[in-house]
Amino acid sequence: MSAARFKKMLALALAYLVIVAFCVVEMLPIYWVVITSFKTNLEIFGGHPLMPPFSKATLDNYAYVFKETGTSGVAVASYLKNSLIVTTCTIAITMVVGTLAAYGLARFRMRGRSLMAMLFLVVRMVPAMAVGIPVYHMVRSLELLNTHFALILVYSAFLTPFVIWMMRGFLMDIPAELEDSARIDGCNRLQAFWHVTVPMAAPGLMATATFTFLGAWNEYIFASLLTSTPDAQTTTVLIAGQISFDQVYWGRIAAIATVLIVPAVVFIRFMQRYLIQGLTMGAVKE
Amino acid sequence: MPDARTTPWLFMTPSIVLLLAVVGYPVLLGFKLSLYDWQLATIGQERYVGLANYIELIDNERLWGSIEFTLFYALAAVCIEIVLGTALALLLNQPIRGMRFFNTLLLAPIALSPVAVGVTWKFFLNADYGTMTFLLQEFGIADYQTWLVQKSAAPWVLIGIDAWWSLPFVTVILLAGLKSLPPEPFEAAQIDGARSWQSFFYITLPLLRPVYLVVLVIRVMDALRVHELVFVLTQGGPGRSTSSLSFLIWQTGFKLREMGNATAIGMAFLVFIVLLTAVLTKLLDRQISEVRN
Repeated sequence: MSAARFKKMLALALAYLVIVAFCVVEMLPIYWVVITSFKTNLEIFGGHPLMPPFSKATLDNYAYVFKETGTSGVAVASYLKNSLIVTTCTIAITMVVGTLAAYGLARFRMRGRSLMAMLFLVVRMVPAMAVGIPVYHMVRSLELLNTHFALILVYSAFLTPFVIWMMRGFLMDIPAELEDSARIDGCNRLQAFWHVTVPMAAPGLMATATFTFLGAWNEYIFASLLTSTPDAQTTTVLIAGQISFDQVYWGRIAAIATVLIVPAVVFIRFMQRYLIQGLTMGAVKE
Repeated sequence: MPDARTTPWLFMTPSIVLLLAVVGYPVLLGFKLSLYDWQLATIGQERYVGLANYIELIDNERLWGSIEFTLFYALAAVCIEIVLGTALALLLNQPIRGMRFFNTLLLAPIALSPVAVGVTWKFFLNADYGTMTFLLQEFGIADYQTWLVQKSAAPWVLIGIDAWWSLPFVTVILLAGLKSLPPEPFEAAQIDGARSWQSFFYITLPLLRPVYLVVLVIRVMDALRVHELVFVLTQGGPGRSTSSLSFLIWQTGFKLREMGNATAIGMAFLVFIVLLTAVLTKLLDRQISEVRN
């Protein structure tokens, strides 16, 4: 075996070793949460932390999540319902509003185009907590605290810039000539956009919607400021609150965490193809 | 029929209205509220104090401590992530069988909510029953429990968790960048007898500059706003050693009930971030148009 080939083999072996170690380190805490959610307290505090519960596995923690009442006298499932309502409505609003703006930015060369794109980008960078108090003040004056509506409105506004930037990238890849021919055939701008461009952008729309899902589903700061009752509180607020005083019930909290994690992981799995574009707001392509 | 100049603005109107109402208005309101002395209980009877809230910030030791921690946190976390991410991406940029499988595994942390990350690690690091204690005992280390309660170690625990959480993100993007590089310059360099570290520093890095910049901007911005990890894991402690700016704003406003002060910190933070974004996007915009062409 030549020295060069040996070096290549060695590099490959090292690569395998490193990637397996990397994956183990990244997956270990997640694996631990999931198996802990199937354990009884006896197993959690007495057994091996990394061993699956096997025959002693229990669904009690999930029964608590979906049936019994939580600390505030309200079923955990109702927090999940709030998360679901807020996330779904946010996706619907941001996708419509954001895609329209992205189209305006991608298809037309007008004055102030790059300035607008940059203004949208600045909003993406604004830390939620920096504007959290005035947003709270505004929502309170409108008497919208503890409503789904307030969260939907705030999430939609803060996620729209993300949709604009990502969809702009996808729309710029669709040739404008197709629309032009549709317009020659008698469509107006909006019809051409709806019947020609939107279907072609379908994969991009799906990918963008997935990232919007993650943004809304995982959000904590605005939810913690704008909701304080189970009427509209989301799952992230529930977990963050429970950990401070409900430390005994690791299994239950692990079950809630698992319910929060699983849809997110499943969703992003489907978007693997557009992952890079989504993560970088369209700036880097695979 | 709208003409070509107004049409794009018609498409953008819904976004602009939404953003003006839900982001623009609160920002203006925030600047106004930062000039008043007010509390949650006394909304409606705010007292105008001029710039007093801002002047108080100058002597506010808590604020300077938070600025120091936040900058340190962002800098350390992003440096670690970029260096390790580069190393991992270079290693993984080889014909590896089963890469798709590994890639799928690495997606999981990217999808996690910051709260889920914090809760998971809080339990994982628990001194009495946590897995970390257990793992370290296997290696014969028994004094682990001091980490989260030590002033010098707690910031590093948070930085470590941030790195754990974001390393897949950084690696996946840098790897995509590496894969998109043209092979010709590397072949030419090899013929000219360049060593591999030379091609890395003189070819790979310059070509990947735009990708690095994108990663850098996104990661720095997200690290500077850290709140959930601090809230769940340390509550800013021990002492004030891990009090991030976002956490300080929350604590000042909703715990210490000094809303005027907290709003002033928020507005100062906002101005800093907007300026930083303006500078970085100037760079970024140029880089992106280079990537696109």
